[in-house]
Amino acid sequence: MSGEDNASERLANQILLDIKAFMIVQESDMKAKHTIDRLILESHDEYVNRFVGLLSKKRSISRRGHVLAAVGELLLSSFLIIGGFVLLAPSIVGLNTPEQLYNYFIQILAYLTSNGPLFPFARIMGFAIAALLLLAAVFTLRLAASSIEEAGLMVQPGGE
Amino acid sequence: MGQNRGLVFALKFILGIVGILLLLYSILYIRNQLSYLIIKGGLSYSDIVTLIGGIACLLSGIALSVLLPESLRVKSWRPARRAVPKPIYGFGTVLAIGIGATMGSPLFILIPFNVVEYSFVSILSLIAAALLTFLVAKLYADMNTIAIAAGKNPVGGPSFVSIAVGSRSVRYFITRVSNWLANTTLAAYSALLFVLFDLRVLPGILSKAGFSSFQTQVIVYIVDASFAVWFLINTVFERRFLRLIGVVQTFLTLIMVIILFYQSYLFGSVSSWNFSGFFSSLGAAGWPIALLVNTAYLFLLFFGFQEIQSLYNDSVDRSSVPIISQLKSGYSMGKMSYFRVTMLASVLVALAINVFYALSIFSLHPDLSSLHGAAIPGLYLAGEYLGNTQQLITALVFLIATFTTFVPTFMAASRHLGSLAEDGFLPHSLGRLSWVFTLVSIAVLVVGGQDFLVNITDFMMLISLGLVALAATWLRKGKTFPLQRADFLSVFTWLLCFISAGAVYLIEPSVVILGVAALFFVHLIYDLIELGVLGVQMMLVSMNSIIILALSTLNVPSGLSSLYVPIISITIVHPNYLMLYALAVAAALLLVNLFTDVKLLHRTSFAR
Repeated sequence: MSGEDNASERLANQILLDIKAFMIVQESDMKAKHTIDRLILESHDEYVNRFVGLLSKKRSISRRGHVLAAVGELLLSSFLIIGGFVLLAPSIVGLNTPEQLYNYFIQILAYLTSNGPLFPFARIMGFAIAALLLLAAVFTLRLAASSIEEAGLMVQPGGE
Repeated sequence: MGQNRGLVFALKFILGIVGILLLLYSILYIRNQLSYLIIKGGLSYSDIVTLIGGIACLLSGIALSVLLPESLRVKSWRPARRAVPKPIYGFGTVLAIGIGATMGSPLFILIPFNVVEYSFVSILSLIAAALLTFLVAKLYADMNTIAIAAGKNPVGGPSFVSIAVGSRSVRYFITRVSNWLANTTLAAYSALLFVLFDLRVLPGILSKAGFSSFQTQVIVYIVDASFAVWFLINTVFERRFLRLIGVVQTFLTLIMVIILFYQSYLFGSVSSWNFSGFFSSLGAAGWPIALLVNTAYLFLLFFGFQEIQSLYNDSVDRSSVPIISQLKSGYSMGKMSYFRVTMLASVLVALAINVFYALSIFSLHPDLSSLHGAAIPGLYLAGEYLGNTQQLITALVFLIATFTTFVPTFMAASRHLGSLAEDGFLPHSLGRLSWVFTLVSIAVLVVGGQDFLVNITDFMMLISLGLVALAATWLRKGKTFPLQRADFLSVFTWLLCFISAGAVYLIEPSVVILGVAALFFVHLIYDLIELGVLGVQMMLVSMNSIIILALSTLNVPSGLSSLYVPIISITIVHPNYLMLYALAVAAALLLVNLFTDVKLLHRTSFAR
């Protein structure tokens, strides 16, 4: 082990100890979070900012998790786009009377209940998309958790 | 590695070929589906899903067919270097171009109908529309001062939004595209009026004025040729003939304004300025709503003033002012001052002419049904009340108004597309052909008919100018909230613009619905651009999957039962089934391409 490695490990251990000490103090000091925000997260010092960047590079979820979350969001947005167009169509073509609107929307159910020759396709695709959406939901929730944390909506220890 | 790249090249080549086939099939499919829907007349859930399926297949086809060139060379969308302009225009020319762009051929149609139907309320609406435009013009001038002080170069209204919130902002993108759409529809409307005039009205006027059939034919050809030459000079040789364009525009605008004033005076003299029943519209219930609706409807007659903003780089730093500089020797104005004055003055001049013209027409008390029967009511009235010679002179003014409206709006529309290319939203190769795209769009929009074009122009321009108005607040403090006293004018104008845009719903609900759908679509395009090439491919895969699911639940084929493919003369019996398989193939091939780009070509940092 080189001297430089020793120095960085010694400094890292010192930071680790300080972090532990800080977390203990924070339990009884409500202003501790604000102090760390002011001195570290909102600092204008280049070295401090680089240090924060070093830590934030570590993701809350893996790259694959991000991909899955993106896939889920893309599927969801596709659903919304198609659903949006289906709902917008009556306004565009001028289906104004209650009968016209009723017939239009009842058709959707009628089509869904009619067992077309391609229905096996629907079962397979339905299952595949549902599985992907559920998987994506897990990772999207994890992204949401980190967003909530970044927004400062986590209850702090020591708070009332 | 070289051999692998060869294989990847071959794979991409195959994907590209299949993409072209999918593209051709989807075009055919959508065309047939639309024809079927027009014949059928109604719309069902299955029609919507199959139509979206066709569009998704079309987009997938495009995404696959562009793979070949896109994958083989590294793209570099560098911002285009803007040509360094040589300032030429001064106060007079800028004002003339502003008035010319504001006073257009729609005046001869919108005002006669509106003033005869709504009398006093119509005049109030003209004043309200001018007031709204005046507020926007004032904000333009204020923002110009802020932007120049910040060392920015604002060319065109949407550039204020770009300066305030950044050129990659969705607000800027929507403002720019809706401005492009409004200018394109206005150009389409002017083109439609010109065709009407050229084919239906002018030959009749000439023959009534005593011209022989041969002479009439020659004059019509001369009119067509001069229109084409003027159009070419402005589009292709704009920079070379900048001075000539300015001189001609000033001359034409001057003639137009003088004749319009003179003819309005003649109209009024014929009827001895008979204003009986002028205030009757105030007695009708719901006149405030009529006022609001007409303000939105007549807004088209004023917003051309903003063309002045696009002349900023072509204008001199200091300019003398006609008449005033002659009276007060050595008097001149700085660029920012005379831009402010010309913008506000062009709105006021347009208001004066429009109101005077409207009052004179009302004094004639023409029959509304006879106006509806006329192709261009302004010309019809001139012939009916002032005689053949005056009708011929009105035809000349109409022609000038077309020249001074169509060309500037077309140029503005092309410039908006060009700016999108400069900002990296469109490839530069497409940006250079912006005038072709605008021309094609005009040809497509002309099919929409006069009323649709007027209303959609109003709606899209009000939305765009509303956002530009709000940019004054963003320029000042970078965000909308919290509102401050200094934001009042900006927020008030934005509110008026959006309320007026909403009022278009009361004239033609479908326009507002289509307009809102268009805004959503613009936002969607922005998001797709932001997703990047691979992101778009992933989006298309997911879209295709959802549509396959939706199509599978349908008892397809439901509607479109067969599809004839020309050239190869094949009839596809179940085009909806084929569409379903096409979507599945497209999704699979896009996935293959994603895998190739990420895992084999390492074009992303994901697999590293």
